[in-house]
Amino acid sequence: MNHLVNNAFVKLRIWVSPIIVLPILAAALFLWFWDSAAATQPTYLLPSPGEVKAAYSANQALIHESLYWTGYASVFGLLVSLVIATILSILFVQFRWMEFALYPYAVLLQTIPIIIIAPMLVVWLDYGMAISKTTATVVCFFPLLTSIHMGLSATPKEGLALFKLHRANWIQTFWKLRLPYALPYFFSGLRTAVGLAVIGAIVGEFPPCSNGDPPTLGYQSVYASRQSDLALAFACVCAAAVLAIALFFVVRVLEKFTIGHWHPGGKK
Amino acid sequence: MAELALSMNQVDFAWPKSAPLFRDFDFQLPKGSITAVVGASGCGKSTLLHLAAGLHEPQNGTIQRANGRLGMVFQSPSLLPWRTCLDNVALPLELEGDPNAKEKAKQALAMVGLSNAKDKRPDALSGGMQMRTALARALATEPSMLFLDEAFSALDAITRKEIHQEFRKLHEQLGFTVLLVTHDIEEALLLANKVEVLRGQPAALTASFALPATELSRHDWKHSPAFGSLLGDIEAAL
Repeated sequence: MNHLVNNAFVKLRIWVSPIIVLPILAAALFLWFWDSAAATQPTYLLPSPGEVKAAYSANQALIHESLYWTGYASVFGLLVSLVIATILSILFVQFRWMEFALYPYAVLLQTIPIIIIAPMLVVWLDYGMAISKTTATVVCFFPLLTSIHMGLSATPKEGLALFKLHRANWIQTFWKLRLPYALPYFFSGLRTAVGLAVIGAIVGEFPPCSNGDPPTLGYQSVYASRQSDLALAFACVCAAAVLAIALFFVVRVLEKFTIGHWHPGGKK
Repeated sequence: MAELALSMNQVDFAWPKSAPLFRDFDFQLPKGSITAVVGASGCGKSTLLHLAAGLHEPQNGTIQRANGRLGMVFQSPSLLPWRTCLDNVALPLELEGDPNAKEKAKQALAMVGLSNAKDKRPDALSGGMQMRTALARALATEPSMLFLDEAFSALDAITRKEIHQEFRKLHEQLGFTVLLVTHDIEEALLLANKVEVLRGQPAALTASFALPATELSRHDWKHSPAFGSLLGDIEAAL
């Protein structure tokens, strides 16, 4: 009996822990504030949470399909960025002249306003998913490059000396020393990049699409806004937020399983 | 003349865009000895150690080492935080492709009295235990020469005393050659057979003190008149 009571207390403590309770309280407060503000405004200016839910229910199939394609473009862009940023970071650490030659252009890439580039991409890449994949790739590239580069450069000198003393080759030094030390930086960059990938994909979906293109959250939200259907536009924005949170959660789980056993950042 | 474990002849070394740190520098290390190099911070002690271990290449001159493996213990334990104690000790053996890495690592851990901690990660170990693990890692490859770079200076007095005693015992058992660089003259006098003073720019060995073989216990030696006299002489030479 005592055992059951103790278990119940443990479960209660988990549920009332600040990690669970505080975000729920914050969400409840936000919804209350939104609902109160919406009550004083017409629907075409600010729909209430209830109206957004109704718009979601009425367009569930469309929103889910849009969510799938926007998610696909975000993940695609994230993975392509990850591969390019990792290869470049390794080259930068290995060959300093490459860092001097190319890093300024990586910074330049970050300063280009993606919202201006997106319509031009229609000219270069034609309609379709290629635009959103490209914008997602461009937007999340820089945070990944800086974090992976910083991580690979953060290997302690003593560790490198130890590996050199025991005649470790490049692969051993990279795999057993540089890469593990870079992982916390990598995950920090990835956490920033997942949100940016969703934003990048959505911006790439703003230009009008041709017949036969799959539905996307970016296009649906712009189209709904133009039709003064702000409830549907808000439903699309909420779906995009859910997508970004889900991707962030996946990264956190990966982080916990990869470095959680030794790095304080992965344990949280 | 005693057989040499290390011989540095007319070595020149300078960091890029800096004044020469060593010029025509000669240094010998007799086999099986413990030689301590003492000097002020920034005088080039660690660079000398790294040159001796082959981690830096001199611009001129030759450095000859006797055959055998090398081991090194740094000022910080430098354990890989994602590896267990045992895996950290096995690391140099893994890098050298030794198929019995884990077995040898267990033996090395037993030598420093850490068999019970083999599955723990570094963050679960005290500072003294981390340094013992680093010592076990250096000894796991059965080195003929061991380099200690201010290895015990960050430890508290009690732990340092324990590790000094263990280290002397291990040296008697295994007979490796040791080059110790430290700014702690007392540590040099407690561990070494010979103390060299490094100073100047370019750095030079300006004084050398051979320590008498003594049967005294660590405590008695530390409080003997000879110890006090040597301490004063080395301080004056610095």
